[in-house]
Amino acid sequence: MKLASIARSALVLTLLLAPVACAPVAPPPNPVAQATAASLKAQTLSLLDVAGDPYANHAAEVTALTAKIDAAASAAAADPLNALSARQWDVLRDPNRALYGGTIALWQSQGTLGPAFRDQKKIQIGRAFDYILCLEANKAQTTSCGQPEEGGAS
Amino acid sequence: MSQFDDFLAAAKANLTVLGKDSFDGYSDQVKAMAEAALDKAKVNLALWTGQLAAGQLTQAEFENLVKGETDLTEIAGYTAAGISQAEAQRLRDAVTVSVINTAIDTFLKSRPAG
Repeated sequence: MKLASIARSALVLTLLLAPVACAPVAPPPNPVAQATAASLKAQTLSLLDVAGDPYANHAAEVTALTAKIDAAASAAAADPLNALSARQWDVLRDPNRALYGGTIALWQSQGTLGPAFRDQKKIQIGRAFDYILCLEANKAQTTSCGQPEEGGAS
Repeated sequence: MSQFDDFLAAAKANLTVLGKDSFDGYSDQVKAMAEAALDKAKVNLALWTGQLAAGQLTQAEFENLVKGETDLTEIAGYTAAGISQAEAQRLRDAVTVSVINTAIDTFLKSRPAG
């Protein structure tokens, strides 16, 4: 009888502590975030295709895409466990860096972007999205992402 | 100091931050992925230097591409760290479930009926 009581107490203690032990250290997988990132990658690369045109001709498209990227960044930052993904989005969109945000800033200041630059920048930003997608895929299960997309720069 | 040396120094500074300050315990994987990004950057830099000399890139475009490689190194580091973090989470979840199952087996299922 006494043994059963001790056993019950031990079980209760185990179950009470389980939520603490189970407190996640990594964010849960998010298929929506994965699909959003893939879509934003495609839209960004398409936008770079027309960056040989004057910036003013595409300012509205840039504003729309930037808003979508900002929304993805905000969604990532909403979960404190998702800090690494949130940092990736911040680097990608920062106009003072040299990926999406910095490239848009250069397009704006230069007026147009040259063909050689656009080709190389598409590869570079594509790789940045691939790293974001790789991290997202690995939240669900261990996933080999292979080499990020390569192109003319290799 | 050449532009490549400047870039390399900046990239190494990034690696130091990624490896030591932000991602304790994950630095090997972070460094491996970031070093691969650095190797790639070295190849790219040779191409871009030629394109700059040939007038195919403006100086601002060249600088943007070089800085972009450093930014990529940082993003790659976050991916490496996140993969380690997710794997650690899955391992911990599995261990926790195992502990609970063991507790149930030990304390409930083995309890004599009545």
